Amino acid sequence: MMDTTHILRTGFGERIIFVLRRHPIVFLVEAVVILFLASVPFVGYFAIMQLMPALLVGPVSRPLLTLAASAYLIVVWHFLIEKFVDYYLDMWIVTTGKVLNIEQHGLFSRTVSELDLTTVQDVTSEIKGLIPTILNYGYVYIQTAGKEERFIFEQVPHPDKVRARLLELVEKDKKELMAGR
Amino acid sequence: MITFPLYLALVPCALVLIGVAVMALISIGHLLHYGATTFLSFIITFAYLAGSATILFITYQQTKEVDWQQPVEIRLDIPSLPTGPMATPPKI
Repeated sequence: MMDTTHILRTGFGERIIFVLRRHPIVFLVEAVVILFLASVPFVGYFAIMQLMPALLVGPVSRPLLTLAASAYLIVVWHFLIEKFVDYYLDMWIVTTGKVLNIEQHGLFSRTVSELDLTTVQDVTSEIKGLIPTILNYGYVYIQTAGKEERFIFEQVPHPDKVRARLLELVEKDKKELMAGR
Repeated sequence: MITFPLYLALVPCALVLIGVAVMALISIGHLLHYGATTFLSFIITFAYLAGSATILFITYQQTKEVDWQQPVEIRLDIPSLPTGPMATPPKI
């Protein structure tokens, strides 16, 4: 479990119900694309071997091609860690009292927003597409009172279960508020 | 014709490496700072660092015997059009 103490201010008796991230397949697809891009220099090597083999033994062309391929590979490989940071630091934390939306946009932008469960009016879940339907992941939209803005849990696993649990928590929280918590 | 030593080709590579190293440090710093020190993040970070080290090692192995002082020649002159009897189109 990830340490969330530095971002989450829990009130008295408040506890974390779940920490959500995008479905792992989202990162996996990006990783496969990166691996595909990383294969380009190897394909290029075989193409040059067939078409212009002299380039692979030239005293100048060989080191130049090696350096270019190496620089390309190191940049493409770097995307792996960058995509992972983007995937792993995007998360939604639901506690017994609030919802926390943490979004990492690239390396230099991070948004953290908080929402009290008592202000939630409507929760909608959505699974759209073939792969999301098979793997059961999708979106959960949280509509709050008096605000146009919605909280969106993006590509989270089991969105229906999340919606049901969220509605339970909202109901419980509102009851506690009415009873003068 | 432009001539320059081969080691100048190392400069853009070094710049790319420095840029990538800085970005990688920021990425790993983010993971550590935001407490994402889990087994999965360790595995991905390890795979990334191992992959990067492998790329650099193979590059070193492939280029360690290169003479970086040798000149690289780039020709800028456009070959002139052929002249003489063969250059004129035959009259029909």
